[in-house]
Amino acid sequence: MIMPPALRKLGLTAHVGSSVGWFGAVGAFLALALSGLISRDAQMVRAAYLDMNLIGWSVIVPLSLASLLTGLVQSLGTPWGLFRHYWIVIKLLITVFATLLLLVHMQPVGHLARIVAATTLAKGELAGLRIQLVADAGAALVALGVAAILSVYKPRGLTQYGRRRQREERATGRA
Amino acid sequence: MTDPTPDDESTPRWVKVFGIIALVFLLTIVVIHLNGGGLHSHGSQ
Repeated sequence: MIMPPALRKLGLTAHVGSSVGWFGAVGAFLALALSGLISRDAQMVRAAYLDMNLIGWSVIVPLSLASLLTGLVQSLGTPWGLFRHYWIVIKLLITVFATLLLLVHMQPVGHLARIVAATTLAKGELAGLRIQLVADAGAALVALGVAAILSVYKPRGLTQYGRRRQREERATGRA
Repeated sequence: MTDPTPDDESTPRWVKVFGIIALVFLLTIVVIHLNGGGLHSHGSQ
């Protein structure tokens, strides 16, 4: 079903807003993960992991789900479709993968938040996990940056399904 | 969003290059996870 222009613009605004907000919030998440890893101030480390847990659940998870949902509506409700163009399929994969990775990583973030709420994290304690959170936040930032670039440049290229639909539509148009 | 323009190309080169880069990127994430305790250890440390 193709949406009317006014609804398309509203949907696009919601999609751009949630996606850009997600990107910015992950930037803050990375700054906190770095602070939690390298800071020598125990209060700073405590605040970093408590805040990561807070912004993760209250900002990043809702924005990631909103970005995914509005992206689905936007592609299915316009002539672009969901599986016709490579750039849209790749964006969908990035969004789904980043959302799943985020949901998986909210568990160790919660674990770290519970630890720092109860006690002081010793230097080097859970270092592997803390490095991993920095790496994942950095990877998410790169992936979301790529998704933003794809949205702006919209590189050409139809999928096999897209080419088949195009042939069908041309045949229908001629008939 | 403007409407898409018709396109008859076969799989573009940028998709293939992107696929290779994405694979390397994913492998790097997996290696970091294995060194950092593994995905299986989430929430259990």
